[in-house]
Amino acid sequence: MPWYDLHVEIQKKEEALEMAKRLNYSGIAIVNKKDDEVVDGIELISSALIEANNKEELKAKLQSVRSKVTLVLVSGGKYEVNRSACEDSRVDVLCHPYLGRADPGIDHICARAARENNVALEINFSTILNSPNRPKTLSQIRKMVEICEKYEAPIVITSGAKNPWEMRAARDLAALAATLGVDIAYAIRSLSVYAKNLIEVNRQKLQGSRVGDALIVREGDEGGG
Amino acid sequence: MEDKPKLLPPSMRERERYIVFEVISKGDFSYDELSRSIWFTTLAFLGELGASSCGIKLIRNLWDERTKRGVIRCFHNKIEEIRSALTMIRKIGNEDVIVHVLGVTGTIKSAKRKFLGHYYLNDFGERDEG
Repeated sequence: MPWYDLHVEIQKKEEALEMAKRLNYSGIAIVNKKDDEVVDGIELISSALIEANNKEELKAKLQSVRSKVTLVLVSGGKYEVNRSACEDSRVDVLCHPYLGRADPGIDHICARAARENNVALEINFSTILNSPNRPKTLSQIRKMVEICEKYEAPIVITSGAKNPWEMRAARDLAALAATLGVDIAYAIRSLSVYAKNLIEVNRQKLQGSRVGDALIVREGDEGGG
Repeated sequence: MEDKPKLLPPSMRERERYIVFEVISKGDFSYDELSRSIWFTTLAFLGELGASSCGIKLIRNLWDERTKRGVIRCFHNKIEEIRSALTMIRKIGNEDVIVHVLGVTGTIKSAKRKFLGHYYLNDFGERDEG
């Protein structure tokens, strides 16, 4: 099964690659990487992590980055940023919306918007592992999952690793998500098939062979109506 | 009379599974350090109450020093809990580690055959190398 980790923050590419190979990943997205490439059979996906303090900053950064990378991640935490990221279809993943808060960071309005704009909400393993108050973080994530299930917002599970020893095998991350209330079958699919699909659709959009989520413009058909 | 309860009927026995794991690390560590680390993290993550309902047992004579592979027994409905507790292990002794679950089996025999590289002379079926 192809496994993907959509959020890795390791600076040294070689270390990340070695560990990803050991853990049977077929693709990882290292943040702030400019171009797609395949090294030793592992896909390195170009992605950008946007950090913004308010709505205007987020929109400006999105505008400049969207046409350049395959995956756009937004670092969440502030409600204003979480909400405007959920309401913008250019965003792919909203990372850790619960970080540095006492509540899950999203509400029913965000979740509904995320469902409409296809923004995935992230369960970040690194924030759980490094949390000073782990029970609090776990309960925030559990509430977030409950809201997402109710409004059918997509969930992704990532490692968010800052060094190679924070990475974990994809199936183990799925098991952790399952104990936090995500359906186990959904967790496994979101780490493999859905992630792969997301990357493929985004690549097609960047190449211009796909408009929106449903319509595929076939080669040779353009101009013919 | 033997000082031991009779073997329970099959429907009353616990249903068990064997989780085969591999420890990824740079340096070496002893079995005692591994065992302590697994118990410490499991108790911290699941609590005494949660751990008591999981039926955890580390099987000592299946720990392979060379390949760093081992087996944990647990009840069949608690596999995801144990797996997620194992992801929380960061250090064994002074070594940074990752505990990587290779698979889950129903018997010790198939755990040995599939993941620990044991062979049986009376087994003529297909087997996986490694």
